Amino acid sequence: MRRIELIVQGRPVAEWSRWTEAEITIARTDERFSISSAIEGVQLLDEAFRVVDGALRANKYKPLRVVLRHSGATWTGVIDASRAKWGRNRMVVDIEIDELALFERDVAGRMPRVGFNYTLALEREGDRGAVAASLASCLLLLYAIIREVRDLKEFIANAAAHAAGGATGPAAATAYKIAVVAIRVAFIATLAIALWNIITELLKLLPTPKTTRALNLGEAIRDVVSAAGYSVVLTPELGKIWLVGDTVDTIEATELIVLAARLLNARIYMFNRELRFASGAASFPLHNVAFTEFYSINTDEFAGYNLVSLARDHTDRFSLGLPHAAEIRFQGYAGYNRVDIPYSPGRPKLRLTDLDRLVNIFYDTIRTANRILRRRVDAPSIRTGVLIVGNEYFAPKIVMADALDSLTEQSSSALLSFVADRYAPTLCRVYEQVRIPFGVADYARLSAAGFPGVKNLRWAINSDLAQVDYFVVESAQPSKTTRLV
Amino acid sequence: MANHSEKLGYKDFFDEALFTPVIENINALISALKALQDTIKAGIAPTLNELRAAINAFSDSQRAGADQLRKTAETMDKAAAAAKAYKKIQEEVVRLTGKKAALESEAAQEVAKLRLEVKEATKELKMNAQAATSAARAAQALELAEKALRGEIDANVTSYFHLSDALDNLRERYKSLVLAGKANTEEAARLRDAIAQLDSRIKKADAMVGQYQRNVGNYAKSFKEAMTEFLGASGPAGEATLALTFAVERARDAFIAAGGGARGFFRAIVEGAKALRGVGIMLLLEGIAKLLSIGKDREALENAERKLELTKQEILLNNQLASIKLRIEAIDDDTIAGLAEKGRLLEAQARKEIELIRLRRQAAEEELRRASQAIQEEVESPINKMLAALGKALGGIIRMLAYIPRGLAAVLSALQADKAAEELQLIADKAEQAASGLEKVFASFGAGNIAQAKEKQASLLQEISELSNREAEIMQRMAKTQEEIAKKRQKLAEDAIEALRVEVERTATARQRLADEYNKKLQKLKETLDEYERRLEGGVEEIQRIRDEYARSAELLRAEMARKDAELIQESIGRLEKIRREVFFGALDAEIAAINERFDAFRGELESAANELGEEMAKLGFDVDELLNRLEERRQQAVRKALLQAAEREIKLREDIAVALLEKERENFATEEEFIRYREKRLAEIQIESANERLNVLRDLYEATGDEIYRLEIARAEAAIAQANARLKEIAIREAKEAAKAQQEIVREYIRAIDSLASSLDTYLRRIEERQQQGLQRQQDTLKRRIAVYEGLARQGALAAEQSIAELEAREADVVRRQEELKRKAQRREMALAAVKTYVQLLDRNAPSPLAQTIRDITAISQFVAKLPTFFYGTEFVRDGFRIPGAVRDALIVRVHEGERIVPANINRQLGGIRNEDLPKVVQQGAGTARVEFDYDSLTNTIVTSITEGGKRKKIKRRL
Repeated sequence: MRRIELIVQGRPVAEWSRWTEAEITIARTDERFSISSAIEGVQLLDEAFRVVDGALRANKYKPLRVVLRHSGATWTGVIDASRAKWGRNRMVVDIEIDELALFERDVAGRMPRVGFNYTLALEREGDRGAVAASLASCLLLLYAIIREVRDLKEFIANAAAHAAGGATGPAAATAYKIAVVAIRVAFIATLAIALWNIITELLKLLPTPKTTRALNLGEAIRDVVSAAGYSVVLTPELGKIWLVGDTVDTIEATELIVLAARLLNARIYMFNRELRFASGAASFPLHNVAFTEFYSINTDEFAGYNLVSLARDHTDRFSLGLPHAAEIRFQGYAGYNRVDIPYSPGRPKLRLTDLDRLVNIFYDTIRTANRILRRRVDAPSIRTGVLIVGNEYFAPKIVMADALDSLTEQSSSALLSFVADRYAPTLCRVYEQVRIPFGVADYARLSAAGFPGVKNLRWAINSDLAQVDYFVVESAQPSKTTRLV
Repeated sequence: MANHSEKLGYKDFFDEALFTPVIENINALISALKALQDTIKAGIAPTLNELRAAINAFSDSQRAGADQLRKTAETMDKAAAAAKAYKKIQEEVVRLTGKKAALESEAAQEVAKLRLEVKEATKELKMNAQAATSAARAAQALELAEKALRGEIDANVTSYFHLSDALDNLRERYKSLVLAGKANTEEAARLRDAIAQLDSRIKKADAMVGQYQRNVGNYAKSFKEAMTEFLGASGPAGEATLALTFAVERARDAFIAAGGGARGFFRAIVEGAKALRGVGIMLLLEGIAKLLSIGKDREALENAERKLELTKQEILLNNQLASIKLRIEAIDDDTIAGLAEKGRLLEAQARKEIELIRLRRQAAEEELRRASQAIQEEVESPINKMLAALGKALGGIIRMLAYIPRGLAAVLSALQADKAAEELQLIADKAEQAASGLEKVFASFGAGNIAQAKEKQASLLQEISELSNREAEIMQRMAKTQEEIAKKRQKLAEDAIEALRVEVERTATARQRLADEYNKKLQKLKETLDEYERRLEGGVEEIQRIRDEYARSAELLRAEMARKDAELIQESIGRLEKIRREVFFGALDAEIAAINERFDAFRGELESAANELGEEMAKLGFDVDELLNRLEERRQQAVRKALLQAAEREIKLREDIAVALLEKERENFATEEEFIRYREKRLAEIQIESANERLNVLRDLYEATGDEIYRLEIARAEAAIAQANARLKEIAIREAKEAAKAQQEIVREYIRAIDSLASSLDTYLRRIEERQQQGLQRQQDTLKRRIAVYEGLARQGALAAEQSIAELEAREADVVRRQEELKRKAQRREMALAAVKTYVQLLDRNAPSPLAQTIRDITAISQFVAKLPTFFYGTEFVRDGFRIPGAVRDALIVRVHEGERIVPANINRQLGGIRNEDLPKVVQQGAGTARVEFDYDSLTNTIVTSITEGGKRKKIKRRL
């Protein structure tokens, strides 16, 4: 029996009890492999007590991270002061291990810093009635402003003439006149603002380049993970996935990781402070050391109908016609699996209209003027190969492409195709509650490989045994039907 | 004479020896000059004798001092100088005598010239001579005429000559009265009657002896009358000439009256001699006067020439004046034309009178100037001064010498030789008297002339004053007369307008009467038809026949009525036109004729002056043609002015007629109020039309005359136009307001209808939209249900290949899109409805430019709302927002987004202002009651008890 070491703040402590009770649980869910352990009622004596107590005091009773080490394998756990009890020269604590949770706690709330400005094409949908009304309003407001200004001028002139003529009335009369002038000025200002707004609205009806924010999913994940002090192993496809929208900079780290996991149809797990994505299905490598007679087939996990759906942006008429869902069917099998991706597809702008060219001329003129005036104001122009949207405010877009400024017609459906390809569930035999000999070396080999074939695994560290539910891939797999809708 | 009456010549008017007496008179004049010489001689001789006597007395009484003698010698020298002067006068007399012959020819030339002038004046002298005969002569003639007419027997009465003479005298008198403006007096009436009867009687007598010259042409007599009047009015010379003509006439008349032959010849000689006596005396006197003045100095001749010129001018003016007066008498002043003519003639008369007065005054002033000059000359004459000084010197010497006897007398008195002293005193006194006398004599050389000149001066001053007064009187009288004429003219115009109005009304009444009459007839015809229809009831053909007959008769009646009506109108138009013509056109013709006449006279004068001056005129720098052209130009201007003035009057009349006729249009209106409105507007229009026309005429007038009064009239006309325009504008505004009000009411009705229609349409559309929405919702629900089913099927593995959840979701998305579109439509509809309602409300409030205001307000509000804070992430308490006008006090316009919820204020209060972010925790806590779960751990063979309470979870393991 080898003793499990407890290391507090890099200092191994020996006087702790119930270390024999320590067990590691590996649970497989749709999104992750969580490796956890909970050792309750651990008594810390003497030096261990003093170290932990000192560390908690020094850490102002915040959760204290500790490391459990056993034959080269290490797990990071936490001692929570709220669950600790202090006694005379000893204390009772719970040591909880969940590296993924710790990771999530560390990266949670972090936002990517790798966003960049992206210019897309904006073409609002003009309403003829609204345009006509706006034009009429424009004229009327202009007329009203002119009239009001004229009236105000006359009023001021009259008031001034009255004052200059030796107004002998009470000061209230003057105050009244000033108030009237102020009100009229305010009214004129309101009218002017309204006029300006209408003009702006009218101008907005023209095709225009719109600058928004964008980020690359892979880079964003790398950024947030590294910012938390971890590293990540990414697949190359993640580097081709782009998120576009005014708020993409504010997507939180866990959202990004979950999105990546969904897109890759992978489960995340931590290995030596490294985030990894485990995808695909493989047989349990220790199947040969296991002995069991019965198995089942994972049809409960195997969905005959899988639907990966992107969000619909009703404000963007350009994206409404694009495929929003990937339908992956395994004919004859039961099961419905739905994956919602909260981003909308984007349509690339593939050609310039005459109006676009006119607008570009306008922007060229502005650029020339800026150059002459030596102003560093970037006035973009409408280009092809970028996204096009029908509304200034649109749902964030997700596109898969090599670059955001050279989009092709296939870019709008590339992501769904990719996701559909990645969704390849496998029919497996499921062996449950199989007791197998399991040591630290096994654990290290499994965790390095991404826990292949593991459904659930409980390993009592001190016992060299583990109870495992595992998969063995069937040789015959059903055929897949994929359709983008 | 009667045989040659058609061929008039010089001999018809003057005898061959007519001027022989003149020559004789000039001879007499020379005699008179000689007499004058004697007189002068006689005037100087006593003075010299007196001087000589004084000197002798002086020599006798004094015989003293050499100085005194030397002074006496000097005095003698002066006397010799005076004698020299006398001699000079004598020489002048001789020279004048030598000039006699020339004077004869000059006189002849003067007479010839006079004759020429008489000829020229003859045309104007017909009715215009000033009677030379006195009123007494006329009275005698009248008495004689009346006597003769009464049948009284008298030598004079039975004498053709006397009667003829009396007739002439009566005529002369009558004409004088006419010229004096006394044509309407009792005397003039008596004269008229007498002249008419006497003329008739004499004509009868003439006719009995085969003389009809009084009834034909009578030019010669007219000429003679004119000559008589002319010469009578031209001073002593004229009167003398006149007397000569009378003498000739009397001789001729006597010859005729005596039946001709030898008897007639002698009779003519007797009568002519009688007359010539008077003529001779007159000519003699005048000749003497002239020669006296000629003898006085050379200027006297020039004075005579001036007087002659003056007389000539006076004759011309008098002739013209007489002509004017006679024409005035013949004018009918009951028409505007007559009044215009009368006014013009009166003005001309006054002008001529004034001209005459000025001429006389000018002459008097000239005389006055000369008199003053003569006085001055007399006072400053060196001879007079010298003589006066000489007189004083001599007087002084004599007085000094008188002291000697006075001294001796005193000595003798002292010596008791009183008698001798008295003698000497007497001598001294005489010497004193002689000194005084001598001084007076020497001083009196110029005093007489000065006194005479001063008297003349006073007389001339008085005359000038009288003439000035008379001129002022004439001016005043002219102004008064013109004023009266203007008033009369105004009255005539008003009467004409009234006549026009009456004519219009009369026509209207006649037409109404005609209409009543024929309506009555038609009514009666209809009654007859009805009666016969009743009687012939059942007989269709008969009834039809009588109906046809009725229709024909009614048509005839109507046609007749229309014809008569047209006749009435035509007659009325004719009468109106006549009134108009009578009132105005005659006046214009008269005025133009007067202008032409006046300018013809000017032209004549100008041409005459040009003829007289000949080339002198060119030398003086006058171009006759240019002057004539200018005159013609002025004439045209004057005619234009008259035309324009007439046009102006015509415009005024037309305006008055239009205003008068306006009243007749009352019947065309249903109510009096409508008519009053129409009249007010029409009146202003008429005024504007008229004022515009007047303005044009006045501008032309101003341009033609340059008279500032027309500028004033132009300004008044423009002011009248402006006022009328303002009134019209006011009326237009009022009418526009009323129309706008009515229109607004109509529009408001329409708007209300549109409003209700819009509401109905809105309800209808809302219902449709609701149905569409419901339909879409149902579709969505169906799709959702189907999706759920499909999901279930998919879970069960029963989803068919053609069943696609993704497709359903796409369809659902399409439904959602359509729902959104419907919502937008509804928003637009609601916005439009709100705009309509706002517009209607603004219309109801009579807001200015309601449509513009509506759009402006709606836009402003929508823009304002767009700028309101939005609550993308929710808020605990809504405070900021745009308050809805007229809504409950805490109703705010805020923007929410799909999926957000609004919590009512009362519930919000119950939540105690909890933060939105804390709500899920509350919910979780609410749901988080203690929960116990059990599990079996096969690995460790334990029973696991999990207790979860709130966020805490506790596991208890019990090993089996």
